[in-house]
Amino acid sequence: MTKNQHLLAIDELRVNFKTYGGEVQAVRGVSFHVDKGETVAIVGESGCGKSVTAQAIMGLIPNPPGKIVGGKIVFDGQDISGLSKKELLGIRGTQIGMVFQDPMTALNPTMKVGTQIVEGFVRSQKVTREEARQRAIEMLRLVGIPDPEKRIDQYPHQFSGGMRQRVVIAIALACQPRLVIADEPTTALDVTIQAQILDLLKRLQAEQELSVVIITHDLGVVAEIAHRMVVMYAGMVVETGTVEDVFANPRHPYTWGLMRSLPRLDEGEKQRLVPIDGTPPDLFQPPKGCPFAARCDFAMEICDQQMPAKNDFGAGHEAACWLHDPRAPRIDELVAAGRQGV
Amino acid sequence: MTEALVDVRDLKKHFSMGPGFDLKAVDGVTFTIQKGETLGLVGESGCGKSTLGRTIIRLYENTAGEVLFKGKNVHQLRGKEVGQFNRDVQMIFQDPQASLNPRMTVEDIIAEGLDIHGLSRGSRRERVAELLQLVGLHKDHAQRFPHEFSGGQRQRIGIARALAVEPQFIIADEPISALDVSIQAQVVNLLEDLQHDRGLTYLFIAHDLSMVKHISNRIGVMYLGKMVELAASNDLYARPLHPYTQALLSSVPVPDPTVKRERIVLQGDLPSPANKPSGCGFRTRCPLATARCAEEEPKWLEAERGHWVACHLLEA
Repeated sequence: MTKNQHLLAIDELRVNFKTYGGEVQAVRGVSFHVDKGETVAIVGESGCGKSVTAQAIMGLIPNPPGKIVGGKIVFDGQDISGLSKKELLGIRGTQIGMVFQDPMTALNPTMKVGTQIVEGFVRSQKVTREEARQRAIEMLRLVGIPDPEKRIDQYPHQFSGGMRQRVVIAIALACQPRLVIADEPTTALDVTIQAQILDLLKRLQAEQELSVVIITHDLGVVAEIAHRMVVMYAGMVVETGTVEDVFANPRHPYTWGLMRSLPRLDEGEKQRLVPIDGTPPDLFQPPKGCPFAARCDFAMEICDQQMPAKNDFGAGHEAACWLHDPRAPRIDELVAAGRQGV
Repeated sequence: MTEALVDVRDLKKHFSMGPGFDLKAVDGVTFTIQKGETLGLVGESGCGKSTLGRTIIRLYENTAGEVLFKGKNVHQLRGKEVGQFNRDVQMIFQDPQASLNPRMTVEDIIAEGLDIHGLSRGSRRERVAELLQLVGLHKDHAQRFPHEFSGGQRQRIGIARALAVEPQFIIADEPISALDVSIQAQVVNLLEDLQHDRGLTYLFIAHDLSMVKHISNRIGVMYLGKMVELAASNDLYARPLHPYTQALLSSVPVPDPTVKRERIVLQGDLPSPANKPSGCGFRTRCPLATARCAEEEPKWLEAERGHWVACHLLEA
């Protein structure tokens, strides 16, 4: 791997799903990258394509009805988007691990957790029964489950929700992957348990120099755990940058909207929430211009006509919005007002 | 002091899980709700907050204690009083998909309460149109079915249904948890406007602490079937007294990367409500627990004016 090469680079990814109602364009040209030892958060609302993007990386898009219709997924220099199931074996589970949202459905209720943890490990490497057992104990200890010697012989129903999610993380890490994709890993958990799991992910990420892609709709989780963030809307990336830059200086009206619609625990005087009116567009027939134009307070004529290009604000901070075009009316005041909540 | 609309006194709701074995979902909770206020109820899954809401609205019979609504014990209402209570108190549910009958049109869903209470004679259609407009939908939506709407719109239908019989008190059980953030704000604003225009009283049950703080005047925190703290929202967030409230608040991720906080990460998991620890329910995870906490249950005391808490550390 050369120095400038990203561990994972997604380039103009497009995924469609065939349904009775027509073809849904779930992901419409998504590009971003993940470097070694970096946590990247993908943020967006339901239906924005964030989970489909994650499934595409893992080769988990059910085909049919789904299909990757364009773009590349380059992992460690190799395009993995068109690999067969057999070819994926060397990557999925071994080099890329996955943590799912709901730990109850992600685990097999009829299998002991120890067996589930080392399932992939046993398959990919020649190990004895005893080595596999030791590995399972080691993994449970790593994710902070007390009494691992006893716990590996128990079944998922004997674990609480938070403990189950630790087991799911142990499975993802069992083969020492270089990249972990976590799809809403704390959404199903209570807030005190969420805090434990976020701490665990942070610790493991630092200790093992993992790269992590975390998918979430919770901007609080993003601020807590990620280095960079990718904001998605209607199957597209509308803004990306370091977490510090995007939170301090959001550039896309959708990002402003997301941030303003959140109440804050530390808000002093009660302020009225500023929702984003309307609903996301229909992805059977996505608009030809900016997908957010119909809900955007600052939409101009061009926004309905043509997709905006990405504007670069330095240090990898990009936003796709016509407001930042040099030909757009001077909007500095508008932008400032938009950020502060009009 | 304004009149208490709802007065809950040492309310208990136990579910039998076999001979001699009860699950104490709600185990002695006392509080009042004033007319026109929003009381928020927070806690983690299994703490009994939904059971409490459902017992107040008579979906469950109480095991012990009482709920007074406008001075009357709701679990002993008979005859016409029950009908009146069902009009006065309405509920909004968490999952707008599951709580609307997929085979009924929006008009029939919203007007069901009107029909039951005999309020719809002559003006049914007009009344439904009015309600749809009130919650930000169009009157042409009346003949459609629930599946034709988005999650946020379905929740608006649920709100319109609750409002149809002109209630005074609404119990909202996680009304926005199933919605996306940008849509959550729409629904919360709607609930606030309705409260302002109609003088409604809310019991707002949720696990999203930031949203509860935003909408509530006062907040109660529950843990394992007990109320552990109750105070005005700003007060509770500025100076939480109970160690559980402190940990809960510090666990909420703040959407601001520049804020670096000391977080109190609780060890262990929530004990099962079917097998509660002795004494104080929180002692197994409490960083400050003493021997006394295992022996004796803390009393529900007013530590400061209007700020109630149940913790041995604050009793002295």
